[in-house]
Amino acid sequence: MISLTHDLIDVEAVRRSVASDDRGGVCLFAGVVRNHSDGLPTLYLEYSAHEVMALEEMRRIAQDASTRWQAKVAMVHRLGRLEIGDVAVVCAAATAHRAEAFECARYLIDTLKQGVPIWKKEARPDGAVWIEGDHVVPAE
Amino acid sequence: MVDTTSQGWDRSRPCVALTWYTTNAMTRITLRLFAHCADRLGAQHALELPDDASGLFVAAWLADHDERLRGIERTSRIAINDRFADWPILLKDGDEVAVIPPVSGG
Repeated sequence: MISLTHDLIDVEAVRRSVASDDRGGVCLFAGVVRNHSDGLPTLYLEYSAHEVMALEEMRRIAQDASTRWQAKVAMVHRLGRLEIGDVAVVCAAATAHRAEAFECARYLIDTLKQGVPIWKKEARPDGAVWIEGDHVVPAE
Repeated sequence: MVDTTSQGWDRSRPCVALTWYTTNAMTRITLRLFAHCADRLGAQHALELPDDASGLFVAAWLADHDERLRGIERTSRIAINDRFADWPILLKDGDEVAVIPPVSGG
């Protein structure tokens, strides 16, 4: 399961999509909207994406990871407005044993954050900002 | 005068109309912007560029339309038809050009 969605992410459905009888370790990472950033309160987030390129890049990362760890993997990212506590992204890795599952899930989320064309806008009490890599750019 | 409608026109002579079209052709592209660039100028533009325009022409167009986007080619990547490319690449008629700022998913 590799997808972008504007709806709530069904974490259990993501787990089921990687489950199989020969895989005893399933590691699920959930990225959740936090109520602060850079020492300032966050009110809510808005995610947007180049959807075609994002999905292509997510598929490439998933292919790399599944080959490297002999894993079955899934990545789902939410777009649109998200409130504090909402699940923004889920990465799942199922492998025969737990060590590979942890490593693989970490690779999935770390690599997604580095290169998949998805952007977040943070609404703060003093105005909204775009987070672009290490840059914080005021929104209009 | 070249008669392009009859079977017997002289193919050794250039067709005047075709020559004019080739030398004055424009490259029509769709420009897609994201994150703060889309905030500033809107998410999508249909542009007509000179036929020798590269990605750098698009960067200059952005700087012309919003001074705050000057130097975008140093901070963002360019993608042509959903593939990352290099800024100096020559653009072709019908290309979809996307400006991809540093990402922040997850």
